[in-house]
Amino acid sequence: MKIEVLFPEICNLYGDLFNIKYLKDCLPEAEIVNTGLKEQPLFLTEKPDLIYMGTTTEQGQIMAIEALSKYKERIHRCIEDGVSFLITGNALEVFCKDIYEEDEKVADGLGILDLTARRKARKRFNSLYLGEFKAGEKESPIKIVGFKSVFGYAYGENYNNELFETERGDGLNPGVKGEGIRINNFFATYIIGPLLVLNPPFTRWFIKEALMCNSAEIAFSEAAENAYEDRVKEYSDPNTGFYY
Amino acid sequence: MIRFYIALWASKFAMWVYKLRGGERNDRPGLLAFKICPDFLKRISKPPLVICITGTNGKSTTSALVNNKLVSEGYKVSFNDWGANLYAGFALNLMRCVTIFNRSRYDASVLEADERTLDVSMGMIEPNYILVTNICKDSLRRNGHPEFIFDIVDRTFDILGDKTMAILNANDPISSQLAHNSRRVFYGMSDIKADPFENKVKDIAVCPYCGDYIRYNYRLYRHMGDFYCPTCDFKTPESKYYAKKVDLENRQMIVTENGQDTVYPLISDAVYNSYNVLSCIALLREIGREKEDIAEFLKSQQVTKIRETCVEYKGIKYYTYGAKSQNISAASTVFEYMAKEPSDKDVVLLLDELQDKNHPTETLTWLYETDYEFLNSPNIKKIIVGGHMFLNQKLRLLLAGIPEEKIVCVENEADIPQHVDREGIEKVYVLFEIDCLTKARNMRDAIVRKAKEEDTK
Repeated sequence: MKIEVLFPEICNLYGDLFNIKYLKDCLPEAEIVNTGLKEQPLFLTEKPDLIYMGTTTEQGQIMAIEALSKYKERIHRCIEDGVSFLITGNALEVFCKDIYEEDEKVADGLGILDLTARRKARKRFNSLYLGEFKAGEKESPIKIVGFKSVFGYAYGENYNNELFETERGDGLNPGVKGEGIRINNFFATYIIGPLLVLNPPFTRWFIKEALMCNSAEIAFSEAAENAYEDRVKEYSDPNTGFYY
Repeated sequence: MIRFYIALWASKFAMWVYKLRGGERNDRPGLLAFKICPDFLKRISKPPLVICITGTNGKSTTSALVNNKLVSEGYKVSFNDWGANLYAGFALNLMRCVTIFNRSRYDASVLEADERTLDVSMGMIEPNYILVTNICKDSLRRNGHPEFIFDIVDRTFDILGDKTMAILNANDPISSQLAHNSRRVFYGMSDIKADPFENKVKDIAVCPYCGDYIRYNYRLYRHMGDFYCPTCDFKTPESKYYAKKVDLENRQMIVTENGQDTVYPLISDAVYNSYNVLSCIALLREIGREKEDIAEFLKSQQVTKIRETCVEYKGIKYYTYGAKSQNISAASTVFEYMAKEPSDKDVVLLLDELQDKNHPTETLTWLYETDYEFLNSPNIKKIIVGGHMFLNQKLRLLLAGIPEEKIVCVENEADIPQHVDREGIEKVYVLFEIDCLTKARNMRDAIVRKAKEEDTK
């Protein structure tokens, strides 16, 4: 199994890279391929089992867009072919059509997603997140817990591919319940940090269904489950403050 | 102007009332002034010397040293040493410096300043000097990321222009890029063979000008070091104050200035505290203090008791040691120190921010940016964690590769003392969030008390 991590030197804020560290702990045989900004991505020549990109700075977003813009068609094709992507935090905006700050366009995105990212002038929105992931019609929804810290939100008219359904906190933008995007095996969410560490039931599903690995058990499962259950309880408690 | 005087008089009256009640450090009078008159900081008269000290880490220690030096000379100094480093604290600080007629009656003001609001606050105060210790990863909720903070601090210098001199850390690839259009001097350090650990995630990895990887001739700690970009001319600027030799064991360093060497004492054996002393020297030299005077003064200085205390019982030293939870760079640096300080030790983590009890999630992201891996060291015999984040701390410690048998995590902090060893260790460190000094001391004392009780049985 090969996991390609795009630009870990800049897309590494808020503990996001622990998603990969945790997958490696769960799947010791997995090969992690770190692709730097100035290197040719692995996905040009192979189809990795997973392509990951994490949260970055606003300047980092521009650098990532510059580095990936010449591979837009290839990325499109990978998504259509069912290659798994996990995109966390504001890396999601790299895949949008464009990024605006207030009314000023600051960058063209890759245009993979039919969304426009709109930032407020350096105002951050911090909140906890509680939602659900619906794996399938017959399966019970999986609770998702996390944290969001964004300078803006993503908006789109034809938005109906949400990854998670929000219970508390903001969706992709404050006007929608849906959080993130799922297209085939392309998973993108504004949730920052070690999403997979914090959500062992989702990780279990992700490894089995998205990475198509049936045999793996998640690492430190008892400690991870205990912390997760405590967190779900806490975030579901109406007395828990949700916005910073 | 009428609004300003109403603000001044109302807040001075409030300050007098608080003082009568023993709350002279309460910054609410400053908040009141700010609410009545939003440009209070601009209108209030300033002492002849106003020094601002900011940066992610080291500003408290450095500003305390600068304050102590000025006070030792007989200066009347107003210093926000109680940690109120935002608008209200500045207003209170400066209000103390003036009469009811807004005439300055102090010699100097030392302002330890939070970076987050620096552009607005210092834009109004217009200090003579701004010393920036460094810019590193800090709390997500408070400070976002280093690039965000850099922009704010840089905007401050753009606003101030030549009114303010910048004193900058040459070894920091981030903050050394500040104040391009201002008067600025740098302090820096030679290769002291610090042998720093590699941080899991770097505060800055690529050149901000061309995007190539930043390289180092040597590193000192975190991203501090003698850096350069192999593609463009981004590199460590030349230091006016250059620590050419640092002897941590004997606690002294030689600083070269205009070709002349001076020996200065250090206040601790930690590299980051050497930087604090060096930055203090640079600032004091810029305001005209003699080298010998500074060296003599430093002999009497030590790390503030807010950061470190120690008691000894039956051959074991029990420390409280400030670690700043949620501040990723500070916590990682302290963890590195725990590994490098050679004593066999138990480490107690009291890192929950009390004000975040109702907001636990941020503490999760900082856990995964902080280098807990550094605690996986043979001289650290046991790690004992208490508080409401105990389950998350346990998971993080396990992910750091620390053997489960070395980890004790308890929700009730009162249970911690019973898990602290007395055999096979020389020291016990209680690492604490710096806003919780009393709690840390109480914990340390409870551990010692438990040891004494065992001896009386």
